[in-house]
Order: sequence, then structure tokens, then C-alpha cells
Amino acid sequence: MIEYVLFLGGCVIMVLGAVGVIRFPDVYTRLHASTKCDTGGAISILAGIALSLGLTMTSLKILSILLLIFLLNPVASHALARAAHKYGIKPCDKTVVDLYG
Amino acid sequence: MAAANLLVTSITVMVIVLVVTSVICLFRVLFGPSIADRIVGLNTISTKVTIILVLLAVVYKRDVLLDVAISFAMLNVIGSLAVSKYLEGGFND
Repeated sequence: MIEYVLFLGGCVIMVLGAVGVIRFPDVYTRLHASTKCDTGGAISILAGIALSLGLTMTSLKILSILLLIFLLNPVASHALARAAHKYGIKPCDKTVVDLYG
Repeated sequence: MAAANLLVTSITVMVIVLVVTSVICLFRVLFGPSIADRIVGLNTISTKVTIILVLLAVVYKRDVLLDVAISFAMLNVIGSLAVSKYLEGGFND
């Protein structure tokens, strides 16, 4: 029963992340929305699938995909934010503090 | 039997939700003001496509699609890192 709760939570997080990617004002806040919601939703959905399958070879592969997304997605996001700042993209006007530059 | 039907139905609903959110993120890829916005949208869509591959592998019982999903997740990160190093100005510093 708990896997359906995980499925529902993952779908809600995915929809909220898509709304954030559309509605947020600059690239850093969009990166914030997309990366956290994407990684969280992916982990939730994949953990639910692995729970519903039980302990098989398929669920071990799914858990390895989960670990891969959990480790590599924030790395790409961080590199992209650093590159955007070095490229010269300014934060939006409501930004309070910009410690990196 | 009923539990398997419930699993297949929920996976179908999840695939539909993921495709709709990918189309929403495609707006940011097409009309993003800067190039970093487009990369953000592409990264999001690629993660969603990885999850869609896993779900379809579970429904159709094809384990090959899981290997495709693993390599797709790796290629997504490699592509994002390559484009960000290009935006920074190369590997010089």
C-alpha cells in the first residue's frame, strides 16, 4: 500500500516542479525548482516501483538507477549554476544577496 | 490479479503525468531567454524520460529497457557537464 503513496507523492512533486520551471523569474530559481523536484520525484517513483516488485534482479537494477540519479543530478545542476554565473547571467531584481560574485 | 491491474493502471497514470509535465518543460526549452534556461529544461525532460523508460520496462517486462535507462541517465549528466564547461569558457582554469 505504501508504494501507491510514493507514486502519488512523486507525481505531485513532478507537477509542482514543472510549474516552477515555467513560472520562476530567472535561471537560478528555475534550476532550484527543476533539480530538487526532479530528483525527489524520481527517487519517490523509483522507490515505489522497487517496493512493488519485491527483491528481484529488476528491482536491483531500478535501485541502481535511483542511486545514479540521486548522485549525478545535483552535480549537473551545480555545474550548470556555476557556468551560468560565470557566463554573466544576472539574477532577477528581487535578489537580496549574491555571495558568489 | 486485481493488485497487478492496479499497478498497471497507476503506472499508466504516472506515464501520462510525466509526458504532460515534459511538454510543459518543453516550453522553457523552446522560448527560454538564455541558453542556460534551455539546458535546465532539457535536463528536466531527460530525467523524466529515464523514469518513463523504467516504467515501460516494468509494464512490458523487458529488462533491456532498464539498461537503456541507465545509459540515458549517464549521458544526460555528461551532456549537461559538457555544455556547462563550454559556457564557462573551456577547461583552462
